[in-house]
Amino acid sequence: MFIFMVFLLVVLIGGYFAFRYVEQVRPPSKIAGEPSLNFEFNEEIEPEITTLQRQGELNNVKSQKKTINFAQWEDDPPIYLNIKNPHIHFLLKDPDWIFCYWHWGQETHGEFNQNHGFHAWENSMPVIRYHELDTGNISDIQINDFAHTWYIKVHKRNVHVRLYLGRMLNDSFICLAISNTLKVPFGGVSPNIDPLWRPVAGLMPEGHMDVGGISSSELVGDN
Amino acid sequence: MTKGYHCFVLHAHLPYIRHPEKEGYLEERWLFEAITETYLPLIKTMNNLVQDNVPFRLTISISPPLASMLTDNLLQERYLKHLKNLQELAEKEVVRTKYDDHLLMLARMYQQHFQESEELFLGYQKNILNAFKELQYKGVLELITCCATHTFLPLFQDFPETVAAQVKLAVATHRRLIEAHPGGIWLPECGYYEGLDSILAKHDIRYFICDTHGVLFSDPQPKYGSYAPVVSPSGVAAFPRDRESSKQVWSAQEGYPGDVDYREYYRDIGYDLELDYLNPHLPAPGLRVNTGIKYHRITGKSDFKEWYNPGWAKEKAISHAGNFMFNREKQIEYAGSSMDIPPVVVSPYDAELFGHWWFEGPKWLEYYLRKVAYDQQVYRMVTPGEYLSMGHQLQPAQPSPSSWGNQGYNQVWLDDSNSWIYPHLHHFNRQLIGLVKECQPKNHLEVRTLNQAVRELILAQSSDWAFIMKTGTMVEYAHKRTKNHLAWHRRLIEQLEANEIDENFLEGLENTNNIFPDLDYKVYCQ
Repeated sequence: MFIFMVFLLVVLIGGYFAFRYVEQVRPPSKIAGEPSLNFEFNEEIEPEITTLQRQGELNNVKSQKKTINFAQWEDDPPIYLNIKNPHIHFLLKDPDWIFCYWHWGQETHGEFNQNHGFHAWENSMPVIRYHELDTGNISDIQINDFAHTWYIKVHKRNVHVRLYLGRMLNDSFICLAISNTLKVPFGGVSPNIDPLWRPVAGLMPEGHMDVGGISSSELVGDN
Repeated sequence: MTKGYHCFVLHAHLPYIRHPEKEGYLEERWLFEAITETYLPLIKTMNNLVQDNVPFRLTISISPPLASMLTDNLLQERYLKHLKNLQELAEKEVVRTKYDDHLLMLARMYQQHFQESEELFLGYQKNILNAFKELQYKGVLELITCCATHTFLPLFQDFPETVAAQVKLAVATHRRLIEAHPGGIWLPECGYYEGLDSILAKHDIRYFICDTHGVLFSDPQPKYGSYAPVVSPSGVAAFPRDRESSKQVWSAQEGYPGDVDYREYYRDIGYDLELDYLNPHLPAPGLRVNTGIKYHRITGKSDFKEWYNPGWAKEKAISHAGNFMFNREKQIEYAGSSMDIPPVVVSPYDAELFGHWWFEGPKWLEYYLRKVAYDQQVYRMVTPGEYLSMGHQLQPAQPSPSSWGNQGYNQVWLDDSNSWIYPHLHHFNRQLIGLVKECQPKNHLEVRTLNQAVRELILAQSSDWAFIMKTGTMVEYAHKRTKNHLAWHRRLIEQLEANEIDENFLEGLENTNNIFPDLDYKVYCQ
């Protein structure tokens, strides 16, 4: 009897542990609905559902995704100027040179001939009149009909300058456009001294002074 | 006893380059290189000095395009990617050079440099503008602004609305991003013309930096030469660049950066190593670029270059810092002995010189500022704003038209290579000024169109494009930028006038060229 009881106890204990072991490896019941820790098993039994679900997710992302619109860069886009009236403008390059540009089109050509006679345009010379407002000096620079820009040597520094674009017809200057007015820099140490602020000796550089020129492009040389 | 002051000014600027439509534009690398090689090292230098309680002062101008790019999320992410690429390359270099002790040491130096860059960048939440703001808050740095798109103003002096728009947008951007009003402005290329000061005064700018002859050629003659600012008719102070200190740093022949022990800029592994090895790290297979990993020193004028020795370079930097300080002492002692106000020596440089072109620059600056604080008593560092606040009586004078470009006036931005842009820029400016005065937009779409038209035009008139055309570097890109901005501006205006706005087209431009998000077209109505 004793032996039988021991045997029964062993069987029961063994059975308990065997039961526990089997529970750990047994696949879960789908009916129970508990989340499975066995991912490998899930993949095997639910591949179709996963694919369908993923497809649905993709559809949602696509419908939510907005295409962002950007500008289209071109290699050489047209930047034509639509200027009807004749026009001249100039810029200071340095105290000795100015750069000017002008526009006159077919309309100007036509109007000129209308106002001054048949073929007046062709019989006249294009001219830029250089006017120093401070001194009254005037000089004419002959240009040509193929150009739209010109570099002009400054006659005198520290004066206000204006340009007139026109044509010389029968020794008369016919003005078609008037430029802006700019003052040519003096480009040197001023001759003016304020008596309340007399320059201290030894603080101004002596002799010729180089101006500008020390920047990163100089430093790196011919890059 | 302090006999004078030294004002060290760095101008940080890059043209606005942002291509959200496509990654890999080479020109975007300019920003990434500048962050890694200049801005982060300068921040590190200043942080080191603050940490050690070294008294110093620096002035930095951060241009609105640069500030906008530094705070742009897209460019921040792209920079991180760029940095990761460099870190991977540096790791490969450590492996490749493991049998050569010297090269291995250099490879590890770069590896550490990129690692520290990433840590610093992320430490400021990818927005390094925060670093500059913090330093300003601590009182060691004065941040000033620069024009909205770095337009060379003397060539637009007949368009006061254009000039005013550049200044107004600059001040507004500085207030938005730096959260402070700028006391001073760096005029693009130090380009000044008579009358510009009145526009600056209207926007509460107290001072600007100009080239030496801007003050030396002022009318009447300056009492103190270039050792003190003059006050323009509108009350804005003009601080002149000091030529002596500029030459010591800038000059390719005489300056410190050309020393034989400093790192050679033009020997980069991006051009020296095999393409097969480099390709994974290049923007496109076979497209060689500067990586920033360079192993040679200048050595001499010939093509023969020896290995870079960081220890030698450091010794040179310390020596040059001492030399620079010595020269400033003598200069200030000399000037101060005959002046009745303390002299101020102003030394302005492009920030990118320090670290990018001159690798040892940031460390040299650190050594210099330490020496000034502890190794001499003749002068101390100051910012222009501080100098003005001292209340010395300054001479009224009309500064001379000038720039710091080659030959001192407008030549660099107005020559055969780039003069073609001005008829177009002027015409569209003229047209826009007229339109803004008369136009009354009927709806939000028209307002957006006008705003974007202004944006395109001011981007087209950046002086960088004319500069690039003159120097002949990335000319095609400069042409493309100028022409596209002008073409887009023209098209927007034509659509507005014809009452046929293409919203798709407009939106594309807004997404691509999104600088100055708060821009109001009425800024052209000053």
